[in-house]
Amino acid sequence: MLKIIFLILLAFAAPAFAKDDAEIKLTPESIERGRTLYTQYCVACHGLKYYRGEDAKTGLPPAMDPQMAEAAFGVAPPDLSLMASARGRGIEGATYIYRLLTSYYTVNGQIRNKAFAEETKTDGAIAMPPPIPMDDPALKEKARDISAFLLKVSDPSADERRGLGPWVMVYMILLTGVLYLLNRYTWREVKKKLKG
Amino acid sequence: MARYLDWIDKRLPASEFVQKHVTGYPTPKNLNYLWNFGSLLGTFFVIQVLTGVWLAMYYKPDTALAFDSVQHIMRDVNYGWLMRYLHAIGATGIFFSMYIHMARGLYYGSFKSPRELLWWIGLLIFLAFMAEAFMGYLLPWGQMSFWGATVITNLFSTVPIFGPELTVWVRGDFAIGDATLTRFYSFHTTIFPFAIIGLLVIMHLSALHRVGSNNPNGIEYDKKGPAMVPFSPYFITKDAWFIALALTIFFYFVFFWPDAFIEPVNNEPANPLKTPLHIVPEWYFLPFYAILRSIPDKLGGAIAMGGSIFILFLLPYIDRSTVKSTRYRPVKKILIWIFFIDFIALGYVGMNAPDAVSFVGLKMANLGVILTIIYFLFFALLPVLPYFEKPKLPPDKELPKGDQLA
Amino acid sequence: MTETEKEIVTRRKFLTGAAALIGAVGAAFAAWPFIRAMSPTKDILAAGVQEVDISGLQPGQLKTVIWRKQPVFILKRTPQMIEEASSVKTSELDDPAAPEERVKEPELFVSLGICTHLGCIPKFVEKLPESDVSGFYCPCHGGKYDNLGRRLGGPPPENLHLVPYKLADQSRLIIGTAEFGGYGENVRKIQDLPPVEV
Repeated sequence: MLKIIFLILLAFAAPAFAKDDAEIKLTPESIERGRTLYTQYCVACHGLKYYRGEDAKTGLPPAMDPQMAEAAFGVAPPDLSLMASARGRGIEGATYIYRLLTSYYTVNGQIRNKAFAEETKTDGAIAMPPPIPMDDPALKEKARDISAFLLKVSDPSADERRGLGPWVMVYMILLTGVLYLLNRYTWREVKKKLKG
Repeated sequence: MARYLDWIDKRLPASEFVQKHVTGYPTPKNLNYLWNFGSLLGTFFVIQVLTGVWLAMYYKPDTALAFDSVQHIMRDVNYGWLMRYLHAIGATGIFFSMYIHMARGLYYGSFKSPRELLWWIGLLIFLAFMAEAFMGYLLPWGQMSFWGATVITNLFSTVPIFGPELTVWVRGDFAIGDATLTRFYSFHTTIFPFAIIGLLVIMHLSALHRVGSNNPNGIEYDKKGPAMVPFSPYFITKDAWFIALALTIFFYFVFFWPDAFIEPVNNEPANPLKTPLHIVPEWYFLPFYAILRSIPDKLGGAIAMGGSIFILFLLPYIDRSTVKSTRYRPVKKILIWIFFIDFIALGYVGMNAPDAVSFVGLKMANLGVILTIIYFLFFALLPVLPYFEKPKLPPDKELPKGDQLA
Repeated sequence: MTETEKEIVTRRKFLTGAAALIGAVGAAFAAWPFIRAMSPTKDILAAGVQEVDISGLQPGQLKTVIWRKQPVFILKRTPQMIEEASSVKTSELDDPAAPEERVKEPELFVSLGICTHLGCIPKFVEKLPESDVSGFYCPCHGGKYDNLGRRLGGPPPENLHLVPYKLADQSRLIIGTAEFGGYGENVRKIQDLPPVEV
């Protein structure tokens, strides 16, 4: 009974699932926790075929056979390797996953999801039951870590890019500066000759 | 060194070619920075060809493998992510430079005699790049790749009588499938870049070097006169620093904001049973996409879109004023700025769903109709302008004061 | 600005040199990703660590497995083979290598199964032609190696190349590392190989 009241309250509290309260932090600790939580809550149905880690060099398959999962839920659970980047640019996609995991409610016993309703412009009838129970006291922290992990998986080059990027920018600014000065001096000479 | 060069020159006109087409090419010294976008466009094309060749080493044109192979490039190939982002964002670089390059030609009358052929070849390059970009966009085999190709190839079905047959012929199947993917890959990586675009670029430059560069005053200066400087070193250094500046911005996107030009939905593999809620083409097709949608009739929309590009071919005959540069044409100046804003506004309409309400309060579909009318009105007004427009300053053969240097 | 024309020219020359230098450095760096992108990909390198079940391997038996798309010989040596190889004088070999430089455990010999002459796959024979010792014989051009892959005669320039390996336990042999390099390029001594992690 308490659970139902809680869920109804959650349904009314729906507008509170604002984008801002996600606060996903891409720290190594959060990503690592997300990796563990993923094997706890997600991997039963969702694979990560493009995930590359020390333990899984060629991806993580789902524990459940996709065809069996489709028979059970009506749709085949999608692979989540690129889910964060498929639902928005940068942090947006991870925020969506966070909101999806935290915005379940029920209407007449039917599972609904607010984030899913907004994304698909439907009534929010989602095939996936809540992966993390809505009454889990650590729901928000867990959803945050899983979202951070999935964002990391969807953007594999992030570290390499951010490591290399500043050097490329410094070099390009230097090159641009020198070429700019060279151009100015090249034209100045003509100007003097024209006047003289 | 000179001895070896001499040996070559007796057998191959290497020095002569470089002297004629690069170092010695007489260039008007009053060119402004809008004239730098041609060389920038060439630079981006080289980047596309190089990264494209490298991507083709790992990409697999097969509906069962294409999406996986892109992720293989992103995750397993050393610097594969760099190749892909350079190539994906490079397409934006090409179209950005090309639109400014074309707008400059439109503004300064670079399509007028004797540069009609130069302008037409340029438009063919524009069309070839559109086809090239469109075909390349199918290759990642994401949702937007698939549905974008479905929608655009469907345009062929508007052709009277044998339209449906033509559509199936273009696709090689009844819907976008393996046959379509492999033929797009074939065209995208072979004759389009190397034969069609490559050849047209050579023709474009040959034509340019025959008639010479236009300039902001639109006056045909004497090629040996004081208004000219040799291309080297003056425009080598000017192009070089400007290209470096543009590439700095380009690399900023590649390293820090690579998903800016990658549609999120395209990170989902193509699903022929599920259309994305909102199909948006890449930004560089948006204005034409808006024109296509603005006509509620299927054939009419296709004709309007085709016409909006075709009409550019007629410009040398539509714009009849003897004055080339819009600098000296007060009425065209107003019209052309309305046209430029209209073009960007069409892009805004193309980006949004037809039923969405625009910031001016009109529905996107209705706004699109108005903007499309303005687009064509610009070309309709150009022929009558000379009857009442008084050019501000009859340009003479002298270099006007203050224009000594760009 | 009171620069003389000469000063401008000097400065321009300096700037031209600086731009050329910076540009050349940049071009060299820009070439690097293109060079690296043609090297084996990370998944190919990851597949370079391979486990082989050798529990059923009898003394005197040769097992050939594919590792990194190349054949690898795993030879379980009999006491007689060990004796044959140790009777070969190391100093008389064209490519000298002592038995302890060719194997970790005397009973097990592991090497690339590629003739160092032109890349054929040698055959293991009980008796090499015109000889009475066991070893590898290359049918293409008659290259001869002893049962430690040391060149005895024929056109091969050097010994069979070794691969990194480690015996995890009596039945599991781990071949290779996940590194680029160290997979047998001119490696003739087992001590020069990178360590294999179990």
